[in-house]
Amino acid sequence: MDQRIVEQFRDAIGPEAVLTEPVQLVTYECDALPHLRSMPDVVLLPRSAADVQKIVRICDREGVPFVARGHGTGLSGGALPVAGGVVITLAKLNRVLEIDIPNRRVTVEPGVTNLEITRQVAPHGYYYAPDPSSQQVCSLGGNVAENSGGAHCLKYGFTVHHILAVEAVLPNGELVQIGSPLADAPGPDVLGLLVGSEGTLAVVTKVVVRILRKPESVQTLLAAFNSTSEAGAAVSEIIAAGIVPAAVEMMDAVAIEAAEAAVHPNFPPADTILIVELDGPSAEVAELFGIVEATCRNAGATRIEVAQDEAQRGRIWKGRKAAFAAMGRISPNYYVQDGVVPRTKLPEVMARIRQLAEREGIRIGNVFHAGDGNLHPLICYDERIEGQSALAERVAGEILIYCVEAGGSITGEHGVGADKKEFMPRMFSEDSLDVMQSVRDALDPKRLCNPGKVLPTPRLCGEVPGPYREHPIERAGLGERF
Amino acid sequence: MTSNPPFKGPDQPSRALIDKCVHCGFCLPTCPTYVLWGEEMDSPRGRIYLMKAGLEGRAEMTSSFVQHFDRCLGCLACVTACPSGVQYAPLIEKSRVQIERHYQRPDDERWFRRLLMTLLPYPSRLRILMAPLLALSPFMGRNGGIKPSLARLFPARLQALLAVAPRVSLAGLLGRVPERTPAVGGERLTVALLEGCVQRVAFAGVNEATARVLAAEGCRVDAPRAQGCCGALPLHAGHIDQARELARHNIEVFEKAGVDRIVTNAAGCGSAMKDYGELFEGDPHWAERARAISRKVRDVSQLLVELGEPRAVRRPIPARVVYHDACHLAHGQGVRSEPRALLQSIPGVEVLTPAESEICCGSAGIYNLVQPEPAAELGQRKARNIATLSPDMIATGNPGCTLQIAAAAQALGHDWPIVHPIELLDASIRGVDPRNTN
Amino acid sequence: MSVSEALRPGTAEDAIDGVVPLRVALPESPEDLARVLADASRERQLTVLRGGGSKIGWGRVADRIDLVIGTARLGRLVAHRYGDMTVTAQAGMPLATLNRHLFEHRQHLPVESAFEDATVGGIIATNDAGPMRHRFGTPRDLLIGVTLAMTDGRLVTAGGTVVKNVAGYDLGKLVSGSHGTLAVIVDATFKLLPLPLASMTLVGSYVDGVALARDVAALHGSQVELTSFDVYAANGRWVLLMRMASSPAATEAQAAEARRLLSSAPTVLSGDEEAALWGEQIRAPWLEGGTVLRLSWLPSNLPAVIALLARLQSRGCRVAAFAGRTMGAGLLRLEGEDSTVLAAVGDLRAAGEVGHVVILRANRRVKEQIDVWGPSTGAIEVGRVLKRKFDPQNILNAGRGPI
Repeated sequence: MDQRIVEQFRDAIGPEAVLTEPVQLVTYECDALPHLRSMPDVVLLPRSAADVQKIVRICDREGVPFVARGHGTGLSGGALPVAGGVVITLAKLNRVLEIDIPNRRVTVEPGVTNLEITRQVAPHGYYYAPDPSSQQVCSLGGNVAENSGGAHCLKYGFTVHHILAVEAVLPNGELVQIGSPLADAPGPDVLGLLVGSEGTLAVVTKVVVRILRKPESVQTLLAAFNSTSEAGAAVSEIIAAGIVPAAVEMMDAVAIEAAEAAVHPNFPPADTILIVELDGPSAEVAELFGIVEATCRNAGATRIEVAQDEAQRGRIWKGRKAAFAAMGRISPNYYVQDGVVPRTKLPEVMARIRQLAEREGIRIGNVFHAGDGNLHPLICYDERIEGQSALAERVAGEILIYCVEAGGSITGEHGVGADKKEFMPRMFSEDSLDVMQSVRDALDPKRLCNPGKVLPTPRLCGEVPGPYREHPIERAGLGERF
Repeated sequence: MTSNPPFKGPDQPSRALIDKCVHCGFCLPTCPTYVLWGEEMDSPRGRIYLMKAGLEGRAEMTSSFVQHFDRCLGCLACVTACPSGVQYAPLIEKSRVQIERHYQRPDDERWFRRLLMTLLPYPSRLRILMAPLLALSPFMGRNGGIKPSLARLFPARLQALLAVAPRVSLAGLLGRVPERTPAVGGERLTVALLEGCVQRVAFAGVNEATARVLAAEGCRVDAPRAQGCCGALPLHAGHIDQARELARHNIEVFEKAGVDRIVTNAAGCGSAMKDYGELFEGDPHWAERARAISRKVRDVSQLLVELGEPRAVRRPIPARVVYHDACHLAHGQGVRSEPRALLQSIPGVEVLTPAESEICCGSAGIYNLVQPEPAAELGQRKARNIATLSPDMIATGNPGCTLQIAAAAQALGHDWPIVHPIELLDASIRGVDPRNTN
Repeated sequence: MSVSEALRPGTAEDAIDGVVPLRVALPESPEDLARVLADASRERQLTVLRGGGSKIGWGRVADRIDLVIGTARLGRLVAHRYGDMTVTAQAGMPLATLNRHLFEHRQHLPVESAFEDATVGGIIATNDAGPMRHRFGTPRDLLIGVTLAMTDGRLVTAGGTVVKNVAGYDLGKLVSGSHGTLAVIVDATFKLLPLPLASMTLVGSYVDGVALARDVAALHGSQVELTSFDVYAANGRWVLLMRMASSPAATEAQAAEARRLLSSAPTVLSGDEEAALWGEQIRAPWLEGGTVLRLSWLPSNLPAVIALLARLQSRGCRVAAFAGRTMGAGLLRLEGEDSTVLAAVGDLRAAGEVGHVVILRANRRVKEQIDVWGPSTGAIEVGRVLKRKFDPQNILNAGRGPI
């Protein structure tokens, strides 16, 4: 990057907030999807919304692409840097600004972690509902970008249902307040558009979230089944009974093995386990829980464990939430996919996935939000074996196609990012994608705000999406990728 | 691809271990340097990524590269948080070895570190170094550390040192734990006590209390005279050859002792000795001997739990005690419940855990001496978290932590007594006021 | 039926604020609608969308309306995936008809409108919601997919048919509350909830708002989970309505808990009586004449809002009705001379206790003297930027809508 521009950044936010050394830049070349990598030219560490504004203004003026990053835990390459561009990390904007318990809202900077909000309001008996598995580290800014869900979104909805307002810097450098702590702000729901826009329309610098009263009672049950279809039938019965559990999670044998190895939740032996959690007023939970237990038993549960205390409940959830990363214990590499199918189509899609795994000779573990059909197939592979990375990627893509064919979606919560943009045409017509592009063009006409994400870009010569592959020249040590 | 890869020769961070990292980031919120600065390079995930880049030749050993490893506290909180089972300890150790072997530090830094490694792991030299501190006792807080008002008179570099200078006693300087303390009543186990370096000179009372309590619980406690430093400080600072030399000596000494268990009362030492097997991995002469010694090592709190039904009567000590988890006990050895059980066996003791208990106090071996600013920030953060609980006293199982928290507490104007849990138990058994044991 | 036959001249019945539209189009299919819209854009015809027409008067006064596009013929139920608890319906389908159909599978779209003729498209465009929003939110919160007709004649989709979906930009949210200014809603997909197994409503009567606000605070701080929680004041009567809906024993238990917290014994209703009460309740603010405003407040400010309304009364503007959700959104019906009403709106907009004061129903004179929507906001400014892209000829509800 032109040194003149780097100097502008240094003058604007201070030299210690501008990283240019390769040793520093390399650590930002990917988020939690490590097979997509790209070195940024500069990494910037603003400390305030004013800093962010200064940065974006410079980028706008000089035509520098920029990518916002929280704590880099995204699973779709949303924070993948753009060559020739900057990464704006919001990690230092990590203050909780205001806690308003009577009105059930908390104002935070985007670098505050999801779990930190709950920690802050827990002493008052409140919590922040969206709970992605990475909640101890993922940032609110990232949650807003991805419209993150989590296990409890079945009952409580996603991030977009819990955000009241944001402050953001638009790609032209303007600082705007979108949304309101008061209900019914007139006009189009631009906040609803921003949440889930994956950092392509603005850089969020402040978030006002809604907190909920901690439910009077929580009851968690773990049921072991001999097959996924039996477990699935149990879920259908529960929902048909008019019950909306707080969470319904399923893990298959491979995922159970990984979780056990990692965090020792002491799951009972099973082909598939079902975790059902009910929360709400004690009387309601007590009444409905009996129905849930009976339903599981009737569906063929071989063992049912009811968490007796908070510690046991914590153990069960720890096992579930560590499942992805825990795959690292039983496989050298793994690819976590994120797709959605209508709940009623789960058995058929699971069967297709099983056949796919057998056909390709690859191991696939499954963790999913059974209540809303959001699957997370965990595709195991070993990158040291020739062709395995490519195979894993291809299998992951095929699973997405099954999801779309079943009337589902290519992403339930991880986002499209860089990873899945080429699949967008399978879900949306060219016209629809074009209109989405025009939304982007309206707010970011220079195409600097996280370019190359969400919407498919025309292929440049030789540019192939997917895992980082060394060019033969690089392998021979004769050249470097810029 | 650089023509000057940073890692060369033996003792490189293992590619297989590095590959275990799936880049999920769960370690970030628990890493003290990420909590302080929010920069990826100063997080476990970032450091592992740098190691990988180093192995792949994509990074050079620049001062920046080195700085990010120097800033790591080695607290191993990341190991506790990691769902993939990444063993960060050997990775950081080997990275530091590479740095010490292949990087030319600025002169003053080099000399300071050399001085530390020449003095700290040698109790006889440490005695001489610390003797003058006797004279400074009147100017220190109750747990050590020159009072801030006086420390200000000294140059900055020295201030960091003076803040954590221990309060030394004649008994500590001249005396030693008896070579053999027989068991009271029937003998349940024979144990050898690792006396430590800073521990035996500056906190002799902890060793004495350890011997007394274990004896009261039916152990014959030997303190082999020939023992030396366990090698923890040099190992954690990247001086692996020195660490191995010290370890070999101690392995021989403790083999000769021929005991059932080897007991430590300093977190860093226990952790290092339990890892002796890794230290000599692949060494045909020492590997098995090292592993055999490692298998016998217990922290004193673990041993007490292992002994089972307590024998000695505990007399009440009514007190709100904040227990501070030393990193090398909690993260390094997984020892969390045993010290709490030990404290809870004393009637009247209320055991409290501060917020952010998994985050290091900043002591981290020699960290507070070579990285005084972040160490001070972490120390004060810890002290503030402790203060919200309004404790009567602090208990922690590591001398470094004791000094670090003492310094931070002093800086904030607090005066809590800081003891080792075993000292508290000893006081309870003997029926004395624990605040006089220091 | 050809496009021209679905096009007819406007009549007095079609008038909006006394302005009769030149023509009214009633397309029969999404493609028809798209074509009509493209034609209108090309010919720069100021176009207003109409579902049931119940809220078409909400907006500024337009001197001229060239075209009304009605969705009355686009009222099909496209799919009810009851196993997956989602439904897709065309924009012209009345909400009441939709819900009647959903009841057959013991499900519902938990949205209420004061207006019988409210349609699927209309409730989204105006974010029309009733007492159950306390628990379930507004149409925007339940919307998971949408088909839109753009002014260039294209039909596009966003979202999908599954509840969990973050692919692409949520254009459905964007058009929520847009009052037909960005694009035309052709069909919408919602997530559904099961019909509650049991339901009960407690009604408390109060002499003034102060005592009522105290009870609101008590319940707000408790573990009682309400589905609807409304306050209503008219003719000196203050009423608190609390609906709980859950499993049978739980509903009883919650009602008992609520009764314990209330300062005096409430009336208890269930079954048909309960349904009738809520029906009346939601329609009440609209029944008589006067100006109807929408306004919001922070829940903890309810006592201050009540005091503010008393001050308004004392300044000469009759507060005929105050109806709202205690979570901070409601309606005011004011009676009085135009000047009094205008002054009252000015006072409300200046007051810190309330926000987003929007005039929903007023006579033309009042609407010509004050901006019904209130001051611009960040979202409205961004909305305007998007409108320039979506509606370059500026035909959609031009001048009338919030952007």
